[in-house]
Amino acid sequence: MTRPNLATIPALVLTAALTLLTWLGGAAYLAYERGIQESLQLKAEVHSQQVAWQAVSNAHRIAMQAYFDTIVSRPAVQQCLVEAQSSDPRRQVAARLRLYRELAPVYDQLVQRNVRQLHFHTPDSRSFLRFHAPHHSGDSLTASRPSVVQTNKTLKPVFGFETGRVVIGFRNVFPIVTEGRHLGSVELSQPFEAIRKGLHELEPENEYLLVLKGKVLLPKLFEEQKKLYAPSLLSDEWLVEDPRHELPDAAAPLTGTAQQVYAGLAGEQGFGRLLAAEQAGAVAVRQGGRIYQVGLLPLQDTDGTTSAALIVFSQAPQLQELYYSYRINLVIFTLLVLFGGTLLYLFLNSLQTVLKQEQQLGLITANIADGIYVMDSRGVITFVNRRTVELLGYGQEELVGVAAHQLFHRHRGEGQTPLADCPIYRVISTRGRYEGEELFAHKDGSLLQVQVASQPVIQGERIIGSVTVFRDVTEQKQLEEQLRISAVTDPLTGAYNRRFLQENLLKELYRAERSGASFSLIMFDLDHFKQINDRFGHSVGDQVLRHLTELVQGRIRASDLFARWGGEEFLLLLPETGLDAATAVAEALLENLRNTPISGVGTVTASLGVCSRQPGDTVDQLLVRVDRLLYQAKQDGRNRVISEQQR
Amino acid sequence: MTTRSRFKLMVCISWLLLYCGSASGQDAGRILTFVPLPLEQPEATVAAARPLAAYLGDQLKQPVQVRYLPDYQSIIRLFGEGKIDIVHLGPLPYLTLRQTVETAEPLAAVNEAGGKASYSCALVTALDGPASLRQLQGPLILTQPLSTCGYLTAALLLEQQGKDIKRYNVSYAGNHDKVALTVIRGTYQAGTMKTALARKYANLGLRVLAETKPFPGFLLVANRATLSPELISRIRDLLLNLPPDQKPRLLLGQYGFSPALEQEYLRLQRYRSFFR
Repeated sequence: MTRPNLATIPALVLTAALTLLTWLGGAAYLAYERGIQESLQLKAEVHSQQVAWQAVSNAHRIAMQAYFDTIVSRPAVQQCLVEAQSSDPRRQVAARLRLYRELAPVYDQLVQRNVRQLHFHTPDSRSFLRFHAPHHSGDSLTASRPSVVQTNKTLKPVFGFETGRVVIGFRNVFPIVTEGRHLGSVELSQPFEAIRKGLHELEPENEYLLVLKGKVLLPKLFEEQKKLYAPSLLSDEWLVEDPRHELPDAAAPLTGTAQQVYAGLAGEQGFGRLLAAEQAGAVAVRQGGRIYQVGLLPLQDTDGTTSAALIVFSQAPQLQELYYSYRINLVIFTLLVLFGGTLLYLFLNSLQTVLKQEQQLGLITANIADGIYVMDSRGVITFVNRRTVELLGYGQEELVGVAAHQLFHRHRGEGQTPLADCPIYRVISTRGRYEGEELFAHKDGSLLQVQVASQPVIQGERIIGSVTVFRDVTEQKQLEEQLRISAVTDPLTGAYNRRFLQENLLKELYRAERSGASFSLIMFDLDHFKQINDRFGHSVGDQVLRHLTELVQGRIRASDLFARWGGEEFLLLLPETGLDAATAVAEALLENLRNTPISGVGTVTASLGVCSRQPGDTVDQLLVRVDRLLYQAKQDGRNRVISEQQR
Repeated sequence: MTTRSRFKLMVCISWLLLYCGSASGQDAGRILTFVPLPLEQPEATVAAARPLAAYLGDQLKQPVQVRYLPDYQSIIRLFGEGKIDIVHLGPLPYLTLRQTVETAEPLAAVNEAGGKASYSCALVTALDGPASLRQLQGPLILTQPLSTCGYLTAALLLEQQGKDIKRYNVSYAGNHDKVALTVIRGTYQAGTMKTALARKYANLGLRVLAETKPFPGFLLVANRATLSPELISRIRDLLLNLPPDQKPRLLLGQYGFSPALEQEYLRLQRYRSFFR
């Protein structure tokens, strides 16, 4: 598996991907934080609603307890209840009638105080007298009213929310025991509307809706009561009482916005989960650009069965502010991410450019025919290219970290110089540029002639080293030398050619004129050379010419200049040499020639003319004179030297 | 026919069509108001009327709301003002309404438990009240002045015993339930109310001293001022042809409806002498 190369991925794509990932991460974090805050706020709201419910319930219970104490303490009431224990139906009717008459005025007052239910039960949990529905009595409450059964069983009061056959509300069921005799129980309850009003007084900004669980409620209700209930907007399982608010004392309907929030709750998944789990909680709902909290307080009957739920609607300015802050933070974060993304894009773009340049530079330095090495400010090598390794014979590891000057720089005279005098190193201190030819030592000890170009590397105002490019010019120099020699020598004999001698003759003439020194010329020509060619062939003739050249070059000084003048004619320039000395040289050369046989040919002779420079001579005058002397030697019988003295 | 006369005819036809269209469309989408008879306590009255209102609303594709009004005077006044579309009334209030508001049109009579559109009223007393009508001293508590089971019933039953109601102190409770409870409390020696409702209070010792002959049944009455003839006809048809499976779902109307026979109600006119 190949790793992606940073330089090959477009900066825009990389930036977009990183920016998107960063934004997603940040946005998720902000959303998470908002969720935490929202959850805390909603939990606080639920807690507040539970406390309010508890407070109203307690106040209600205390009031009902007081009413109970007042009512049951009446002797007439107790007497009626004693008579109600009779098994004679007529006596029971009479007792019920008297009880009704005794307490009807009290009930009228209780109704004024929002007490809806005053209900007496027999010890076996049958209805004895409902003041709120007096025509209904004698029915069993065992199935519908667990609180009544529990009270008559334990003879202890039971308090709590409970649905019933007529009224739904907060129940307060008290046992009636007189002089140790259990006469039944009585219930004093306020309808839910009374509780709602109590809650509304505590939290005026809240609105409340009671929903009832159909499968718990409907089996309990009297048939005529069932018609007052209809499915809620939440689901068919949950009912609401008097949905059209047709009853004269109907609770005020929800305000428009709360009604809209209520209408939208069926599609609110969070609320649906709470309701399905019958769990207290709250959700935030957006309606008309505002945030609302919808709290759910499940209400259990006294037997623990959830039979109803209180839904609390309230505006949520804290959540509104939280959401606003979240949006602002998200916008700021988005802008920061975009800004960071832009910077990242610019950086990556620049980085990719640098990487591309590095790649290109790497390719160039690896494939260039010149050696390149970089030195730090101390002259220590920090980088070498492949060609440097090839040219110098050292491994890369042998070069990097070593002072170049000590290792392979050689300068004039092929020797070492102090580092400060090294022209390549000095560019670091002089901030200048150096170009020139130098000698570098190969690892095997041989020397390379190199063309060097070196310049400092400047970072800001500081020189941090130098980069040096060098080229091996050894072969080039050798070639140039060969060309130079070819240009001034005769290809057959290796002696200088006529043009070279003429140039040097002129220089020597000028020099002699300036210094007054003397120089001489010897011109000689092989005798009967045509016959040699004719007799032995041109190759032998050439061999003779080369023999003569070797012989002369073996006898003359380094400062002397020997040239082939043309055919078998040669000219020898003897600087700083007078006529006598030159004549002696000519004699010696002739003697040598005579005594040196040539293989296959035998000995050969030559005729030589010798002259010296005279003040006022020109090149042509000198050449004419020496040529005449040669001619005279030929005329005099060859195999001899004729100098100007002899003439 | 000239061109001009043809044009006039077309304009007339267009106006006629427009008028018919608006007349038939005056009910479309509007919430119809149904006021039940305040026989019992408000909760029971509304609960009894609600299923019938829902049934009519479903069938008419038009919502029907139940509005509780506590007395007949208010009902007759609001009916005349066109604020009530359908009202549930006893026979005597119907006669009063008919004389006051010309747009009252009977839809159907409500059948009682026996399946007939008739009912009786009773003079009731408490367990410890007078044993017979002859022992009745008063005072009397009645439903409402215009109620059939109110002043009319008391006058009729007392007349049968040779007594003149004008010799008794009478008061009005407002509805039949309140009459029953007031008598049970003993505040009044007797009261008048619908017999069927009086039976519900036997558990509190309420007794029937005397009972009238059957009156023609309670009526549902439509308001022609607010409902189109087509809609009135449609409602009447729905009531008289109530599917059997619908009846158990109703309280008001659970025993069905019968055609309202105008002459039976008009016969009650003779009792109006009691009110002079």
